[in-house]
Amino acid sequence: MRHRSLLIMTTAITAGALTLSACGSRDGKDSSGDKGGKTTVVIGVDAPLTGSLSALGQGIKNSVDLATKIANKNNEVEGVTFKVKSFDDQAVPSSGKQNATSMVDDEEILGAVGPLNSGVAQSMQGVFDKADLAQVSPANTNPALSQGDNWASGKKERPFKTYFRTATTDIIQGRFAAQYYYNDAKKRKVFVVDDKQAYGAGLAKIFAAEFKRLGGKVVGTDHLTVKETDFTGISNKVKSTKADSVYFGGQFPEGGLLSDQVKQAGADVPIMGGDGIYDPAFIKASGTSNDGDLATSVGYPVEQLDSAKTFVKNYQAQGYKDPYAAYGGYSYDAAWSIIQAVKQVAADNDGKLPDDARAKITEALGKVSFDGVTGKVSFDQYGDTTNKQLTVYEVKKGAWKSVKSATFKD
Amino acid sequence: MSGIGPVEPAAPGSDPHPLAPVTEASAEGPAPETLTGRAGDPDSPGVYGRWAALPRRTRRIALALTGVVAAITVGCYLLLNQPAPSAPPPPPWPAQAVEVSYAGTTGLRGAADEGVFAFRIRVSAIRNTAVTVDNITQPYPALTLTTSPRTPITVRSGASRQLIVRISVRRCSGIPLGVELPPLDITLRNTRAIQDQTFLFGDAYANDLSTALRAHCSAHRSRVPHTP
Repeated sequence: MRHRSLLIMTTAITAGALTLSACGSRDGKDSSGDKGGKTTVVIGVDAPLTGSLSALGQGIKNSVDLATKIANKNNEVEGVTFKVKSFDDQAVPSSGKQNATSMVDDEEILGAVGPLNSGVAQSMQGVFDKADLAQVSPANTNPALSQGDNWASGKKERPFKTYFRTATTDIIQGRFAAQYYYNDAKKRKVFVVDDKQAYGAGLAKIFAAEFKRLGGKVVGTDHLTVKETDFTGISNKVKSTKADSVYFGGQFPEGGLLSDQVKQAGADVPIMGGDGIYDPAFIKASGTSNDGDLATSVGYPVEQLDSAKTFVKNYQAQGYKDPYAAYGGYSYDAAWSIIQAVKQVAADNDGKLPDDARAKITEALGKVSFDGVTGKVSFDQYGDTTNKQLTVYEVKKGAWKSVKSATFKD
Repeated sequence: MSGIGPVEPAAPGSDPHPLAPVTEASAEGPAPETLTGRAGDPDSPGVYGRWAALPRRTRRIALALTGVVAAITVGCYLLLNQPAPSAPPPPPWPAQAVEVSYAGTTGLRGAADEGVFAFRIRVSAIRNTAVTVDNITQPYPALTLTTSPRTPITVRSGASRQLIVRISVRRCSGIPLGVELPPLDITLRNTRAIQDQTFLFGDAYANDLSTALRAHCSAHRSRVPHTP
């Protein structure tokens, strides 16, 4: 009996000791794995974080941040923690180029979201392309960025394999605006103004060409300078030409003041613009009512996109100081497309990122396909989004309201 | 989970709970009922004593019945306290549930002479909802539009249907010659909403439309009535 008790006790102690040592060694393995097991992947964000367009830029930055937080929370890519590094370009091309260089030099950055402005993108594309670093813009609409300078003559050629965008192009936006202004708003005599920038001038040109093809008349044209505030001269010209409408290619700070001053000059006509004027600040530019003014913007109204509601809820839950604004959803999808590309590259490489991760991520981006905030996200052979949707908004009782939506399918 | 589960009946002749403590009744009242204790101890008072005095078969049946009652009780509790199932998500908006694509001209014989441009569009219901095309229109007063089959046309979930659209020329002034993005306005309907949506096609549709209009109006301009 005593021997049996002794045997039982010895067995119990030995088993306990073995168990404790196994737990200890497992803990030891785990703790060393936790320290070195997760790779950090940084997504760079370039946008105007200060200056007159900062509201849009902050929305872009925050939306990318949200995407990385969700990805980390869901462990979207096993063994990878995503972070964001943001760069302010103040909507200035040379700043964008400097930021692109900084991102290329930072080895942790494996993809970039931005910029907002087409003109800034033109200065960044070459820098990224040399380094095989993919960029996905949530907002650029100038067609040449993805289809080459000869797109208008039908000779499309992708200039940079690293350039992608989740927003559709001005080819569709400008022409759709012309169709709406002519067919729906019944305008026949338009005065066209642009801000001489890549986006604004390009959009205005595409609009005017389609408007004339429809049988409308461009009764006058003029240009303004960014950051200018006095548009008396242009406003008087609009009145003297007896235009029944104005089309403006440019951004909301100048567009809002232009609209007010045209009306104050006695030309009681609507102004229509592109996504650059689609912002509450356009309406608040001064005390003059903007009711009747129109804008096209990329995508669908959030209330008609079930996928966007989750994004809106999550964005609000984070408590960001600035709203997601016009490009928040597109920015989230841009970031998510990079995250999905990283996921694919890791999956193809036994769960790790290879030495040529940037090049592989660029390649994988061309094949991503998922249901995003703004609808299905994927890219065509030019790096353009395959999800081409637009909406016309009208100012009604001091707020933008959607009045017509369109889907483009090639 | 309550932790009460079915009790295994003891094997014949074995001590059912060899290591379980014995509960003794207190002076204040009967001891709490317990399924532990050694069977057959003639000195155990109260419930345990009575339990031990029962035939083994009776004890087994009682234990089994207790287990069944306990399981049913737990099951009912869980069922009644289950969180209400969340409502299924609503179907997508009709415009998000379809794809509409241009599928080329039909080659209708004599169509060009009659001022008709006939082409095909494909409507696909791409989400888990059927979609009905209630109406298709185009915005140019100089043209009219009809479809075959006639609207309304329902496309089942996951299916595609091809429609023939005929655009006729009423007059050659004001036709959209050379426009790059001629639209079709389609009214869509599903269980969620009725929605007007504009569809824009690529260069092929614009070119085919312009070619047909140009061919008809240049050849038959004198025969087409002009509206005042």
